[in-house]
Amino acid sequence: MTTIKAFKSTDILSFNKINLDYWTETYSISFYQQYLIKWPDLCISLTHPDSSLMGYLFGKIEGRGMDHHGHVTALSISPTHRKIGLASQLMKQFEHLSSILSPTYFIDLRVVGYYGDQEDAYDMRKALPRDVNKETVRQDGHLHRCAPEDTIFEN
Amino acid sequence: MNSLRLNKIYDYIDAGRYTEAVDLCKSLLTSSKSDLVRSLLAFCYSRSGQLKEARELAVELVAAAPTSSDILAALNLTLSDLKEYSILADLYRQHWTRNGSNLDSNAKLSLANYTKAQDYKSIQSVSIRLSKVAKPPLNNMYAWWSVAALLMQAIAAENSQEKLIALTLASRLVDGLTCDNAQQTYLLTRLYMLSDKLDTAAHLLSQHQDHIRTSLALEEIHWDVLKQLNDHSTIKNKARELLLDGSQNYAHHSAYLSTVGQEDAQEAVALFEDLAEKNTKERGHVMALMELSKQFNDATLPTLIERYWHQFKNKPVCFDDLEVFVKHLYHTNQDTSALLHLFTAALHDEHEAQDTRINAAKLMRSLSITTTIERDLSDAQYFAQQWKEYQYTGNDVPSTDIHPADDWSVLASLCYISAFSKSRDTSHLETASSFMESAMLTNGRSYKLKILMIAVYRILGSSKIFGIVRMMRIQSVQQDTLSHFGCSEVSALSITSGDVAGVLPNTTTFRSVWAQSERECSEMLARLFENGTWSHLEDFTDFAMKLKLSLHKWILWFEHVRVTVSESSKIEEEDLRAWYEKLEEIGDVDSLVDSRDWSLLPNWSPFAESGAREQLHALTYQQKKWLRAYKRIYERVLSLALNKTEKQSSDKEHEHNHNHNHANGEGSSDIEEHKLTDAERILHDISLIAPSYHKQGSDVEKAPVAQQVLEKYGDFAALLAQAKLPVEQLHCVKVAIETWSLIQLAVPAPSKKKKTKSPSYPLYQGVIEALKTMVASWEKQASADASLFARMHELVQRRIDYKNV
Repeated sequence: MTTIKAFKSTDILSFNKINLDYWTETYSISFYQQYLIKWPDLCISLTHPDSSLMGYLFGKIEGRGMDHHGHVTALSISPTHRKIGLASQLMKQFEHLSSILSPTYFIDLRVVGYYGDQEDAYDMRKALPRDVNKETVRQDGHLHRCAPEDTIFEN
Repeated sequence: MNSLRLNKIYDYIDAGRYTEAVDLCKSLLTSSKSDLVRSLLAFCYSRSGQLKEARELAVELVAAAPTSSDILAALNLTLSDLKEYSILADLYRQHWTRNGSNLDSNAKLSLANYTKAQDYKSIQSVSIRLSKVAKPPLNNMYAWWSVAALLMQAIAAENSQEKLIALTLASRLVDGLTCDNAQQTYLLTRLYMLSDKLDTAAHLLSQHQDHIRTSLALEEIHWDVLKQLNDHSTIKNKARELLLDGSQNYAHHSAYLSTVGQEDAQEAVALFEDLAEKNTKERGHVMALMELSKQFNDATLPTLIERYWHQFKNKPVCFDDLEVFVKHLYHTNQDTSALLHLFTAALHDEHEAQDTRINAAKLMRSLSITTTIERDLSDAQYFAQQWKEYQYTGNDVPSTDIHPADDWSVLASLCYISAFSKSRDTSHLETASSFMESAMLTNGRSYKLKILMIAVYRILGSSKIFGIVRMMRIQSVQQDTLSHFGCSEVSALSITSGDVAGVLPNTTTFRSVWAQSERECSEMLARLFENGTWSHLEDFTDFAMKLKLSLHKWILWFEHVRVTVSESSKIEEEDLRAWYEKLEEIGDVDSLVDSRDWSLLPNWSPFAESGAREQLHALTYQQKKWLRAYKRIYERVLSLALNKTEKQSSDKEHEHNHNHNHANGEGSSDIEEHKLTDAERILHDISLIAPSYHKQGSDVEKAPVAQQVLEKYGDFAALLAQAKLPVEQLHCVKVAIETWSLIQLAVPAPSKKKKTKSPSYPLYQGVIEALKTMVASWEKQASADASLFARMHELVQRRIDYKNV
């Protein structure tokens, strides 16, 4: 019972139940609005019928050549609405849109240490149909280091 | 101009040393009237918070039509800081017109600033001109800007004629344009919708199915068009197709449900039954069945609730999903005893998962309909015990995550709060706060506990409230929606501004969070036009408006002023003038927007009882009527202090109330509706009497007015004696101190010449005596935070020593 919609600026006024979670960063208004301006189709909200926000995803498309990919910038589900597959639903939607909007080779999501606490990030990737031979992903990815500077792509 | 000294100004600016830069600018201007230095002075004024001076100087410079790029750069920054985008836009437009070039940067800067100012008429006039002279594809881009500006003019039109003109012009423009992407399709659809050309909108969308597939915004608007056309058959077929294709978007369930009547209810039931059978993990299909049952009020709802329960009882969302349906059964007087039995059994079944038992507890409490104090306390103890027993479930959970047993502690706390609301016995809140403090030691990540603790500490008059608010790390974008939990009537619990540092956002300068947010929104709106993201045009405008007209922003501003008034021995005239100007800035209170999010307060109360928000209510909710009444109090007092004439409406209100005829006055209606607290009503009454003191010519005539003020002031002592809750006691004393400060502003102190013969002498002495007496009796009965009361006592002692000021 979850409505999937385009994220709106006014949703910022009701995202506390999600953003009060420790792992969810609250950014400035311009951060969210930049994404809405540049990638309106890749900013998605999930709403409960009682009008409360259940979760959201902010994504973008970046990189050239084989690096052309969909990147998940923020993905968070409110604690009350976890364990019902909402994050998977958002990722599926994002994967679908990344493939259609500007055919990309893979999608990725970086977590842990990406926010300036001196740790490296896990660069989690999933190859999309355009990457027929799955060249953009590694089976032993967890053995390779990925520094924040490795996650900057040219557009 | 001495370039070394000029460079020094830039150095100061670079280092953020604006006060020194102001001094240097002023010194240079004594010998040379350089417009560049004046423009830098305007900028430094704006950055150091001297907004009025900055605005006056900048406007003077703009009137002289400057051409120097350095002066223009300084004016750009200053006027942007001041959010005077229209002045800036006009300045660039003049340059553009004067230069004669159609596509110079001044045209773009003018357009960007008109956008920031949301001046859609000017955006349209500039962009249409640019669209005629620019080469492809820029000409097309500016034409779409014009269409968007016309759409916004139509939305904001004050009458149907204005709207028609805007829409007609927009329609003519789009005739020559091709729709190349989802954003342009969206804009055009909105235009057709506003023009009541729904068929044209539907036709357009049917030609752009590929765009709909990649744009959720376009898909949403498509449903809206079909709904407005009452095209039930298309909605039904389309939704059905999507659902059969595996859609999990409840927007599609809702779309289908919106078409179902009694005649095809069975068909709908068959569809959702089929879908539910095929995908047992999807809640939406069972929810749709429950929705149908609710809609047609049939007898299957309890069975469906039970079915949902067995499928999803261990999901945290279960209570939120079921609440509306269980409540429906209660409101339609249906038998819920079997469900109550089901949930109670699950709650006490130790073989059930923890999440299942927590859901059962919430549903059992709701379905208890109403409870006794004894029941609340026994439930609280049971839930607290469960919280304790389930502590082991957090052993492998990182300390940064929410503890799986947290909701037990919230449930227990809510039961204690419920017992307090029935008895007004604060010992239940003390038990709740001790319990929550111990729960927070195990895991401090539960925002529900933090918010409950803030509400409980507030009633108990505990200064621990400020620590919890700081712990919540409220970010700038959350000030409007979240900070009210900690900041409502914060002035009652703070003795000095140091108490509220980091709690109360600074709302007095342009750097305040709301001013910053408004600037960001303006900037982003300009970028939205550049990118042509039309699906978010109305959303951005709506959002900017909500922040600009924030009710909470002004409530917090008042709290800041009240703290300052209470702690200051002497208030500078400069501050009084600044406050008076701010009061004018509030404008029409009715147009303000309340974005405070109360849904964060957990609410699992029995259905027939009020929720936690009401149960923890004390003093006032500080809504629009409170703000309006408080604004008038300060307008009256500050007018007297600054020797200004009150506004006509306030005068009328004063006359009206002073004649003791409170029945029909606008101000009195605020009081009748209890938007002000009892203590604030005393302040209100005094603010109405005080102006008469000035209207009387002789001391003999002034003396009875002063006596009236004193008599009214005496009501504080009676109120304090009646106050039961610690927060009420603190609030009463704080408003008494605030009123004393405002009396000092409104009624001149006894003159040294006349001494005891001054008409205000008995008033000043009387207020001091009243405060002393209040403090003495209050010391005996004070039941809250001892240190807070001790500090309050010191404050009173300090504030009654007015002769040394």
